[in-house]
Amino acid sequence: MLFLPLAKDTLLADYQKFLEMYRILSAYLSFDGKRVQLSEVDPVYWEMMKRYGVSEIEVVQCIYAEYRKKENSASAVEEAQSLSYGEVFGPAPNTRMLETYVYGYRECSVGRSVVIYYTKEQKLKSREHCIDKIETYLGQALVQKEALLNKPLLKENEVR
Amino acid sequence: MFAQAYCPFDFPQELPESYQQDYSQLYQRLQTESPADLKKKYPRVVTYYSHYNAYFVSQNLGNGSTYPGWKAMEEYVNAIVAKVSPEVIKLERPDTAHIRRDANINASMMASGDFFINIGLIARVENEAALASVIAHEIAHYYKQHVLSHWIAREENFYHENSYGLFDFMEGRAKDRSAFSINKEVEADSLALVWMKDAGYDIKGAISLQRLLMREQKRRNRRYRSPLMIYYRNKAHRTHPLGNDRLKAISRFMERYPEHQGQAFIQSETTFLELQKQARVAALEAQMTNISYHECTEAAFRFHLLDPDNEAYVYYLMESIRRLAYFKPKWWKVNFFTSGYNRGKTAGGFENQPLEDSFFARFDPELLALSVSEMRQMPGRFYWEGDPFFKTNEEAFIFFSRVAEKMNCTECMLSNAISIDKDPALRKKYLKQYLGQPKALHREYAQALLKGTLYKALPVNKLLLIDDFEVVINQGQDDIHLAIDNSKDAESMDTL
Repeated sequence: MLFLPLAKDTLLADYQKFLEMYRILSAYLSFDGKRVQLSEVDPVYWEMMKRYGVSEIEVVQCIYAEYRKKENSASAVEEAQSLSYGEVFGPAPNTRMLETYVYGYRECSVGRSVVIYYTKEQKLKSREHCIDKIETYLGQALVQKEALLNKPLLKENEVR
Repeated sequence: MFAQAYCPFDFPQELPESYQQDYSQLYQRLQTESPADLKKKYPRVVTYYSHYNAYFVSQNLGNGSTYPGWKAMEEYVNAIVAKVSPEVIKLERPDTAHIRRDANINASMMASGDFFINIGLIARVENEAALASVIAHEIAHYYKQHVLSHWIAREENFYHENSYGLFDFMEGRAKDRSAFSINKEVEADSLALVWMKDAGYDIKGAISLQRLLMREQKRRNRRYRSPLMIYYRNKAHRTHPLGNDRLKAISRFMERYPEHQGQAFIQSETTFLELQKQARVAALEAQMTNISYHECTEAAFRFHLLDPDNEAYVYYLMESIRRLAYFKPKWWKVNFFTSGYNRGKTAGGFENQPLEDSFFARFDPELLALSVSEMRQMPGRFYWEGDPFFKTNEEAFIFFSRVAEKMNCTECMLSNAISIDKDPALRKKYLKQYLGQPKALHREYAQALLKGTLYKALPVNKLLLIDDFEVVINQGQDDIHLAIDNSKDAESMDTL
């Protein structure tokens, strides 16, 4: 597992390449539904996967949004921007939502190679510490993505 | 590490220390430096402004969207920044310039004094004076704190933040926003001209920059299907003065100082030309990694016309066509370059019909968006002489693969081999040809492709990548993005 924001400082070149791969995966729905193999897009992607000793990549992207009442004071902005992740995920009397994207990619000669699993905004309970709930949602999204990726193709060119 | 073909900048694995901008420190600095009167009158806006700037700078320096430590390029831009900055705002930090990995023609200066300049801008400007005019313009925005004044105007309901819609346009709200912005741009233009003159630059540099922007706008307009859309985009919602108005203002300024004999180059013409050559290749690489394949083809062909012997341009021409055609196989049969453009203004008026002719059927300077002098000296003019060399993308790819063969462009050979998916024998032939080259960058990959072991060579393991956990706190009109702090947040991420 690689947490990309923390990998930037020490694996910047790799981070750039992963970002490119991820960008291609996120754009692939606009690519006429063709079966995509990253190794045929750029040899560097194949070399990266070989170096990391993997044939599959999954990328998880989460967007957490908390909706607070309108504030007009500077201290409210200061308070919000100084929160740590741990504090944000703690109990708070506000509406909180989580949006998740999971991209699955497999380097293989047959079958599905790319899937995108997306969950619309999922509500998180306001009075509880929500890190467990986020973990559950993420786990479910990863399982769903895996099921999609393993689903057999109905016809040769179908990827969605 | 990996070998990347034709990329003038190698991303390091370690982010240089100077690029590891700490969000909290930057935020504190910006809060301290904020104008006291504005802070007293608009405390929330000023605080949010400091947060926004600190977040933008720390994110953009650390995530590879700028080239970390491209010394020659940074030093050159820094020298121009120092030259055009007036005494009143001589920047305390000499290392203010950062080169963004972005092929668009743009630049910006943040409240922190960090100057971001797109590689695409360096790739296209005519000379150092033109570059100085953009730099001076952005410094003027910084000096006059125009962005902050926009935010305050919004706070005072001078105009509505999101006045971009059709109804906003019809009800006049867009007009207020547009007028406010244009006023600020005129002010920045005026200051920039004075500073350029004082620095000893040729004011014609500002003219050449405006002309470049106007040519680019004309080219983009050819992608719109209706004159109403062009009006809506370019006039009703414009944030900058019209190009012709800016040209007139520059001419008036020049008339006021007839004795001014500025220079097109103050630092060095040789350095500029060498760096621009690198910037052009880097801009193509940026377009490719940004999946802007069609734009990459156009830009590579534009540069190829100016310098046909440069094999990097041929490589990007081939690769951008091949990659887009890989995702969209119909692309092979689509006309080279003209796809997506309309016929534009003709003798019969505006024709919004798609341009279906070959790019070489008639010389169309609007699509090329090159300057008159560039077109006059263009060695690639021969493409419009006699029968066209190619019409479709497939024909163009074959044509450039032959050009590449003559140039002995090693990586183009691999590009050619990967493009063939229906004739294994021909693919093998090209792969063997590639493997015979001593400088082949992707030897192991080509060998695996040749032996048909591409998939077998990868172990059945999975890598899970967790992207930035984006946390946004919405407080009325403010969306506050949380900047990840390694020391505080590692524990939360570990839990996840």
